[in-house]
Amino acid sequence: MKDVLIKKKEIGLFYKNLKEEFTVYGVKQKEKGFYVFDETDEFSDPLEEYKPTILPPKKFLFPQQETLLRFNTQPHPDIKPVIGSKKQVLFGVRPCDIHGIRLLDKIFNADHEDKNYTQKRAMTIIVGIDCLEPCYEHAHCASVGYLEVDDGYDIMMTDIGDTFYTSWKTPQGEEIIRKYAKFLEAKNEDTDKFLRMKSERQDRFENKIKTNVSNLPLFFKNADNDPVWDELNDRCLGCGRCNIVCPTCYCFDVYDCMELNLASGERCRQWDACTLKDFAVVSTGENFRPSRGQRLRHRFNRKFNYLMTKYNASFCVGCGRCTRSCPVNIDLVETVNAVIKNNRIHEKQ
Amino acid sequence: MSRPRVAFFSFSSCEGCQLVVLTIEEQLLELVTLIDIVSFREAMSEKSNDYDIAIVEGSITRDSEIERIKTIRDTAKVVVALGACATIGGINCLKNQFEMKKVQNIVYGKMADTFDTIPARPIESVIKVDYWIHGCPIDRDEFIEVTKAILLEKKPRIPDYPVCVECQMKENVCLFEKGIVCMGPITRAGCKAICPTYTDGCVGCRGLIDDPNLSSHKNLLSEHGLTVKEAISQYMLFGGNSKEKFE
Repeated sequence: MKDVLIKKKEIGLFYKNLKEEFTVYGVKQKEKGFYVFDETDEFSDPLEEYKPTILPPKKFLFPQQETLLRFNTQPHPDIKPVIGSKKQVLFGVRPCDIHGIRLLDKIFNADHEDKNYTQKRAMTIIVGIDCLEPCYEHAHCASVGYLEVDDGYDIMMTDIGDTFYTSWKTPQGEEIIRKYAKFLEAKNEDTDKFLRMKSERQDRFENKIKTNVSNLPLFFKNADNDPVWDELNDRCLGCGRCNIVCPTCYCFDVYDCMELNLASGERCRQWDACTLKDFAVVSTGENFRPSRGQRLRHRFNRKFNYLMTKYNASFCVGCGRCTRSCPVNIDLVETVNAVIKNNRIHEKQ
Repeated sequence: MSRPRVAFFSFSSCEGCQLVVLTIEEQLLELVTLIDIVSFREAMSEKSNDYDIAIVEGSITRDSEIERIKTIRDTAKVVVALGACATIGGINCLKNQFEMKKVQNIVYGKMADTFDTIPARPIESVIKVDYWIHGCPIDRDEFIEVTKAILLEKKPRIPDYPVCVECQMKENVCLFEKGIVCMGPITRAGCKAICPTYTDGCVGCRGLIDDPNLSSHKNLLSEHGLTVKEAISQYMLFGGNSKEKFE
């Protein structure tokens, strides 16, 4: 790996040149203080003002709604898979969201390969922008060990002043830098500055979760009857927003959409959310998690217990989107800390 | 069901939901190859008392309407409630907060005694309903979805999750962030969050989800400066028929 410098004023050119070959998605402001990933004409990443986008960039790999296959019942049954993919660049993905995509890579390749995801992923280049400061008050990436990122991206850029200190991780990353960016070779002094700035950032990222993240599965295993779930049951609206904005939530609902000829149609999927009432309803009508508290407990277990145990990795990436989007201010860090605290009280007794 | 005979009926309503059906222009011709529309006063002069599917718009607000809707139920194999007035009583139920005598006087003045009126109610409070197409007005795609479901004898895919799901999937900035009050967290989705998308708070026209957390939502409204009375009046705009749930 060789590191290069791309001048800040040249970054727009790099972004624009990429559009010759790729559909490029970058960060743009939707409304004051709210950002989204979208196809933009110009590089419009707010850099210092950046806050996590309303939806994470997973929407370009696993869209909100997606057709899985087309079928025809007449004159005889015929089924054709539909897998949409195109060459795309996700530009300006922060470490938390790179971890989110890295975790989805595991999920959609485990047990059964999900080709609708993996084929989109294979056509996707990820250009990361590293964080030297917490982007906002809800960020807790460092608490879950996800400030540092060393794979899951093609290029990583770090703002070291007038220039982006830029490293490539993959041959595709190197190729597009050589082809589309105007760059200088990084000198030793640049590398020193970059390393110094990176090491200086550690103190700025507070460890908000009051235990080492690797202890969390055990805490959550003992938290089934924690009173925190009753409190949250009263507060939670069951609106599903925490699921929808989460970079690692991947549950979906599959349904058929017939055309008006009633003979052909599409099988589609749409994001689902485990905090919604119908999520765990089975065909006979029973609901395995009828209360909002139970559903929220399940969601926390998915992030810090079930999947964490299976994959040995936190499934919360610390972006803070769930906390920010919750209309009734249910705070993920506070909830996790309450579980830890109640566990410890329980142990002492 | 082979090309069923379909009749539209109007009860107390603005008939706007039937108008929405007429706007489904690009699919109407295909639709009429599947169903035989025999009564639809907004679209044709012919009428028939012989029908399989009754699509009913409007709420029940008079005694005579009770008799009329019962006759429709006796005739039709399938009854569909079309739009908020029929599904949940809609804004007509606002009048239920007042004495019926007073309402009569306000609306009909000197002629008040000529027109009887009873508290407004959704058609479901009088007859059995088989399908519901929610909203004020309805969503045209949902009309098609329910029509297909009836023809295929399948359960239609009607959301029982709140508007927030659709709103968030569209990447809208939450209206509460802007100080705008919204019924989205307790209201059934299916409208594609059209009002919040255009920065208008959801008014709950599709009715409550099955399991709304009203006390938490009420707290949320009061945090946004609404008094209890104001919060209840928000709910009552479309939820007048579920008044007991709000108090």
